[in-house]
Amino acid sequence: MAKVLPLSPHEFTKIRDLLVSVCGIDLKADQDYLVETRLTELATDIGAVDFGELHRKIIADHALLARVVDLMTTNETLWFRDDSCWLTVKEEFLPQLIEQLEKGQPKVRIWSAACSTGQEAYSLAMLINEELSRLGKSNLETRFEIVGTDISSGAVYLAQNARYDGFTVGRGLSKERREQYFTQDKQSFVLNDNIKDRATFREFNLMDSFASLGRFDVVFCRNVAIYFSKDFKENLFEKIAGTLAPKGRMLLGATESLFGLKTPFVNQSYGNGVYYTVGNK
Amino acid sequence: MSNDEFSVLVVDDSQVLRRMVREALGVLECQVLEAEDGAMGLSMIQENKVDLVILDWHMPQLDGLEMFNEIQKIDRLKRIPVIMLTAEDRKESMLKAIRSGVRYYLTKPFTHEDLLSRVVQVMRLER
Repeated sequence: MAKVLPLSPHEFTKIRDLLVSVCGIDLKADQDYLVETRLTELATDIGAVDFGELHRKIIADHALLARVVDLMTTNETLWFRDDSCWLTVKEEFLPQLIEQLEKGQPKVRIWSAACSTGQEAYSLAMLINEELSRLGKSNLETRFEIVGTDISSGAVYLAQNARYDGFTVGRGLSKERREQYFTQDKQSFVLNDNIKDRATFREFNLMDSFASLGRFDVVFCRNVAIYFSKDFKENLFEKIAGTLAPKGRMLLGATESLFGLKTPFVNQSYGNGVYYTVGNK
Repeated sequence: MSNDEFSVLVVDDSQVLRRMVREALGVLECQVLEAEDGAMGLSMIQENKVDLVILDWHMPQLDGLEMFNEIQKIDRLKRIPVIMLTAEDRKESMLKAIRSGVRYYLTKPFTHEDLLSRVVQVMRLER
């Protein structure tokens, strides 16, 4: 495989301008090494001989941008991240979603839009399991469908694998839940099938069309859009709005908002949590 | 190749770090070999089937980049992918490693998600 030529100052300026204008990743003048150390593998993979060609390919194919963002940022995820979000799901969303099922809706579909290694999707499956059990309605559990997507093929594999080491399984997960939902083998904690089977995962680029995904009752889009420009955020939220079923809702990260963006969404609040609906859906 | 046939050589002079990486790799159920410096790593890579090397930089005997350069001189070994996992975060060093052909460069402290995602990407490419 041919080696990519070292990054020139001119190429760095072009890529830096592109990253700040489109992704909101604002590199300092002395951070040229980050572009070269993190994007050389991508440039090699797509057959670019130098970073000028990588820049041209990104301009021509915006789908590459999501891969760039994935490589330039750090993946970090927790079980049950942000208490207010999970309280909103438990007390505000689930009672209504259960009612929709009881009134004859065949399935409730929930999308974890940047699922990383699966913690968000599986946290949700655990919460649904607990709430249905508490209400004596466990028969409804298989009618909840959780879909996790991520740009990283490695992350998706790990989510599907549903095995976590001791350090990872301890991040945000109580001892009680760890004992209830995992079986420990000699090397790792293995998620039990009753939770694992509730979620499916696939590689997906948020820059692509959402037509293949179907409709969702809830979309988790947390800590994803922070790296994108205003135009790309507006486009992303427009597409998410298009995937939502009537009464559908979207959740963002605890530090995110739609302030200053033109989107079809309106804010709703529950306790300290905020979620979004499309108009008066 | 199933995961348990995939063999990863972890070269680091810190026993704690080797244990952390071994624990993280446990979820992939691959074989893990350990070496505590570059010289031992170079010896082990020649004597064992190794599909991926996770390599520290600063070590006694032979440092990580020296070990990498030695591997590049051996035809049957030079295509084995190498992930550098090191506290060495000077830009000159990172560039030197990447320009020498190191596949990924991760700096400590690292997240298990990032390390494992890269390992899985390599595993898939090598199959």
